[in-house]
Formats: sequence, structure tokens, C-alpha cells
Amino acid sequence: MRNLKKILRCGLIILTSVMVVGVVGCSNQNTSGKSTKRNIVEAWVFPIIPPEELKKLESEFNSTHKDVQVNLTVLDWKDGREKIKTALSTNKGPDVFYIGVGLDQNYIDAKVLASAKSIGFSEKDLEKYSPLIESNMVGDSVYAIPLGYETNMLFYRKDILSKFGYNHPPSTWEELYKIAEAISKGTMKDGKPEVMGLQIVGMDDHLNAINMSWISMFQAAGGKFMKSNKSMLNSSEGEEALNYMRKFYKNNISIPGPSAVNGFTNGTVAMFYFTQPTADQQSWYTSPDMKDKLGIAPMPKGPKSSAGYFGGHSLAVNANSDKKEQAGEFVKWISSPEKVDVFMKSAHHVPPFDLSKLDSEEKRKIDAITNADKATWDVIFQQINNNIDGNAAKLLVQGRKGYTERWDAQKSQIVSALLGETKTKDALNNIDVKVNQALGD
Amino acid sequence: MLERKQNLLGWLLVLPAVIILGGFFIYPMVYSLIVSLFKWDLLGSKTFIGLDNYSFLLFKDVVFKKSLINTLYFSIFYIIGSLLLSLGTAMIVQQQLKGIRTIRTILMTPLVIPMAITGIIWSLLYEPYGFVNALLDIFGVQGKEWLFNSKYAMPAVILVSIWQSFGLYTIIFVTGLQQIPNNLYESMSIDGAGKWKMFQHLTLPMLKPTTFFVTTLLLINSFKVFDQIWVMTQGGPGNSTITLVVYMYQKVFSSVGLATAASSILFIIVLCLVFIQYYLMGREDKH
Repeated sequence: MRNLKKILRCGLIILTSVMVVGVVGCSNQNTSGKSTKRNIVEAWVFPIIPPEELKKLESEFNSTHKDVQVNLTVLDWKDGREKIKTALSTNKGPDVFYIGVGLDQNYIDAKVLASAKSIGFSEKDLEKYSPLIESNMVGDSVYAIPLGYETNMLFYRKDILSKFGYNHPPSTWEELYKIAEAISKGTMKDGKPEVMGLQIVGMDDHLNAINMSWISMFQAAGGKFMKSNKSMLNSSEGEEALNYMRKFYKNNISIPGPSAVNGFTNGTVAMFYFTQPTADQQSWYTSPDMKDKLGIAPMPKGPKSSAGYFGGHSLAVNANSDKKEQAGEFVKWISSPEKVDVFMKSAHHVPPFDLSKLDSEEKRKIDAITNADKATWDVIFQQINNNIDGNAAKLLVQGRKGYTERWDAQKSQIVSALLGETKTKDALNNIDVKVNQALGD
Repeated sequence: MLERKQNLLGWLLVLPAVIILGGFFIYPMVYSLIVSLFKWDLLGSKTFIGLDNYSFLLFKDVVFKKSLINTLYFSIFYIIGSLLLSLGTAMIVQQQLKGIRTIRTILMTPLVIPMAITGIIWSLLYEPYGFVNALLDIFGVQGKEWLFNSKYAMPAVILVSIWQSFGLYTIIFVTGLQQIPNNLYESMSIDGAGKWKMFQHLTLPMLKPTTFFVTTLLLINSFKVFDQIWVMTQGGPGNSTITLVVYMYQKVFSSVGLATAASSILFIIVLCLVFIQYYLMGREDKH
């Protein structure tokens, strides 16, 4: 009798489990009984715009595409690149992933990037992009689709500059030094400037940014990363750029440590240069405290050009994904001219398109945004044009080789040179040695 | 038959431990050793290059040498500083003084703060216009750019590391001190020994097993130092605070072979040091 009860109890449990599984299983079927199972695309991105904006895009895509569902994972900048690389090394990884504009030779060599044409982009689609698309090309093929471009801009405090008699931002290296010197020396107390004329980003708590700060000056001096397949930072252009940056710290105009961004907000830093979304991230455009104080200008002209650091954000489709078509559908949607306004509004990202090649409907949203804040967009576009003229895309393509090694070596050597602990020539040579070793020298 | 069954049962009982040890300790170590013989950037295919990674690290790579020297520099000062501070503090807090429980709790506080948070907090304190320089300014001492000067960056990091961990070692020493019978101190006191003599000839020898344990922990922890350095300096300025684990972390995503070769070297160094320490302590015991 007791055994019978046990058997009945077990039977009841099994029956309940089967029913639960059945109900869950049936939930993917619609009333007509036809399966509505969607292809799930995993996409790993960075918070290039506020994560809630990215999540809105995810919801919008999922509600308008019945066959594809995208799962968007927003990674952290501090270790996201490593997560993507580690995942891709397993030959699986996400179907769509973030890659910086310019690409990385390791990804190209490992053939993990699907070409734009293989994921559904036509020749006509690709013709809409500006010449900077070159930075995402290998040979004749595009391997990642840009969402928006970033460029270093000069941020200056109008109130501080005008207090020292300057009503315009510096337009050359000489002027930048002269104005920074006047402000720092004019506020010197106990051997330290109370208001720093210029702080170089990366000489503060944002160490990684020293790469962008250095590349800006190197680019303006006409420097090239590679010559005859060898790293060639140790060149007259490299020395000129690094010596110029060094002057600010050597002559006590700038001091290492204090945050450029925080200092700019609280008025202890008069100028710094960094990428244009910084102002959005800090809410400077809308902050009442920054009203009439925030100034944005193109990078001061160096010995060769006014080009500066140029980069941006792209999405690539994993060449090993078995959902390339669906992944391509998502990438095409999110990178389309219809969606570019989200990136422009949230972070002043420069649209990657040649505006003259867009039709009026596609251009409408872009025009609405640029017209709403014409002064800011004008200087950003001016800097982008300076970058095009200064062959910034070519420098990015050159930088693919030994990218990671150069990134790490620059962080240690450039800071060391600016502090005067390593001679500029030695610091540049040390970077070259590291990069060339990585390239198999 | 019964013996065979018992043997089988024995094997079954240890199987979970064997699986965990094998899967999570032995396999990664062996795999890392194998990978150290390859050139591999994580994404592409692996190319067998024999011992080239090792010869590059030991004879060509100046940054690796610097990381090795820095690790030794960090270890020496961290171990000595932590030992002295934790032993001294233990001597004080083991006494039954008023409010001693509160002091013991305070000592343990830094230990429960994650190292990454500690690093961020101390980075702010070390800023040129930060708390440390403001404090020095009160005493008329010129502040420094602590984390932006290669002379001061490593001492600054060592100080934070000692501050963060000495509470743990203090508690271990307190436990060791409590094991020493009181009557031994009373006997020495009757024989006319002063406090220093008692410390020298009774406390220190009786604390030897505890000291060995603490030193071994310190040694291992100092050689794998990473969090605080990564958060505070990322190995800079220049390479002035780069340590072996920071070096490995920087390399692992671009050259897995070099990173794993460096980890094998680190393993051998720590193993040798622990053996030397074990041998020296054993030899003293015999004397």
C-alpha cells in the first residue's frame, strides 16, 4: 500500500513536470500553431552613447523585426576589448561586436571580420559613406560599419581666456603655448599654477587617453607610424611633437596629476584637448554652470597640419557566426542614416556619411540636429575636414600593425618623456623597439 | 572482493576533489606551460617556437627585467614593512587595555575594502592637491606628485599595500602570541630579564612558526601584486611600478605565449623562494 502511494506520488511529479515543460515549450507558438522562433543575435557593444539609449535601440529593433531578436550587451570600456578578443578566440563569441574605426591587424589576420558585402551591404549602400571609410577597409572591402566618428577638439574656458585678454581660442601651437603660459604664470602660487593654462589628458587619472593626446600632436607634426614596415615614431616629426608637449611640464605651465575634465569644470584648467563627446558626457552643453564658459575649437595648427587624433566606433559581424545574415540586418539597421541622429544627439558623433550623397529624406534628421547647434557642429565638421586633409585615415590604417603594443608602449613612454624621466628620443625609440618586436623584428 | 569494493569507494570519494584539482589547477598550469612554447596573439593560429619566449624574456626584454626588479623591490619593502608593523601592532593590541576591541576592529577595516576601491581612494588622496599633500603642507613639507614621479610612485603603492593588509597579519600574530604560555614570561621575569630580553629570547623564538606562515603569505602575495598597481598607476609612470603580474596582464591579450612564459618564470621564482625559506627555518630549528 505504501509502495503504491510512493509510485502515485512519483507519477504525479513526473506528470506535472511534463505539463510545465509543455506549457513553456508551447509559449513560442502562436495561436495558429505555427512556430515563431526568432533568430537570436548576440551583439556586444560599448557605451559610446548612454547605455539607456542603446537599450532603446535594442527594443526598437526587436519590436520592428519579427524574425530577428538582438540581445545587446553593453560592455565596460576598461576590459570590454579583452572580453571580445577572448570570446572570439574560441571561434564563437558574439555575432556582432564593437571594433574601433581603423581596425586591428590581429582581427584582420585571424579572419574574424565578415566583409560588408557578405552581410548584405550593396555597393550603393557603401557609396554613401565619406572618404574616411577607408580606415575600415582592407584592400577594396569594408570590414566594419562605422556608427560615428570622434575627433580631438580644443576645449577652452571662454571666461578664463577673456580674463587674460584673449577673446579667441588659439589657432596655432605657438598661440596655444603662449596663452597657456600667460594663464599659468599669471596664477602661480607657491610654485604651482592655481589655474593651469593647459592640461594634457592622460597626464591625469585618464592614463589611456595619453595615446589620443600624443597622436594628435604627432599627426599635426606630420608624423607617420610606419615607414618601410617598421615602426618609425623616432623621427624628427615625433621628436618635434613630443618636445612641444614636454615644454608645458618642463616650464611648469602644466603639472601632472590634476584631472583635465574636472579642472575644466571647476575652473582650475583653462584648456585641454580631447574627443568631442566629452562635453556631452559631462553635460556641459546643458549645465547652467557652464553657460557662456564652454568654448570648443578645432585643434591648433601644428608644423604640418591642423589634423588631430581621429577615431570612431564601428560594428563588425563575426565571420564565424552562423547568423551572419541576421547579424548584418541588425548592423545595417543601426548604422543607417535614419538612426544616425541617435549618435549625433547623444554624443555629437560625426555621421560617417558623405552628406551630399544622402537623399533629402535621409538628410532631414541630420540637418535638424546640426541646425539646432550650428556653431558647435561647424567647428566639429571643420576639424573632421582638417583630419581628412591631414590624411588621418591613412595614419589609422598604418596604426593597425602593432596596435596593442604601440598603445601600451605609448602609455608608459610618452608619460615618462613628458615628466622628463626619459629623453624624448629614447622614449620614441623604446616604443619603436616594442612595436617592431611584436611585428617579428 | 570486499577490499576491491572498498578501494572503488575510496576512489569515488576522492573523485570530486581530483576533478576540481585537475580541472581548475593542474590542467590550466599544464596548458599554460604548453602555450608558453607558442607564438599566439589569442585570435590567430598558434605557431610552435620552442623556448623562444623564455629566451626573449630573460635575455632581450628590458620591460620584463624591469618588472622583475620592481617585483623584488616591492616584495622586500612590503614584506619587511608588513612584518614589522603587524608584529608591533600585535604586541600592542594583545594587551588587555581599555578600548582594545575597538582598535582591533579598526585594524581589520581596510581588509574588508576591495583592493580596487582602496586603490581609487588612495589615488585621490595622493593627488597633487589631495589630502596627503595638504597634510604635509600643514607641517611645512613640500608635497609631491606621488603617482606621477617614478621615484615616489612605488613607495606610495607599497605604503597602500601595507596599510591594506597589515590588519590580517596582526590578527595572525595576536593568535601566535596568545599561544605562548604566561608562565614562561613569569620565569624569565623572576630571572631578572627585561622586556627586550623577553622579546628577543622568548617571544621571537616562540613565534617562529607564525612568522614562517606570515612570511610565506607575504611572499606569495607580494609576488602576485596586481590590483592596487593597476588601479593606481597601471605600471607607470614610465615602467616604474610595473610588476610581473602587471606585465603578464599587459601581454596576455597580444602575446599569450610571452604572458604564460612569464607566469611560468614567476611560479619557479616563488617556488624557489619558499623552498629557501623553508630550508632556512628548518636549519635554525636544528640549531
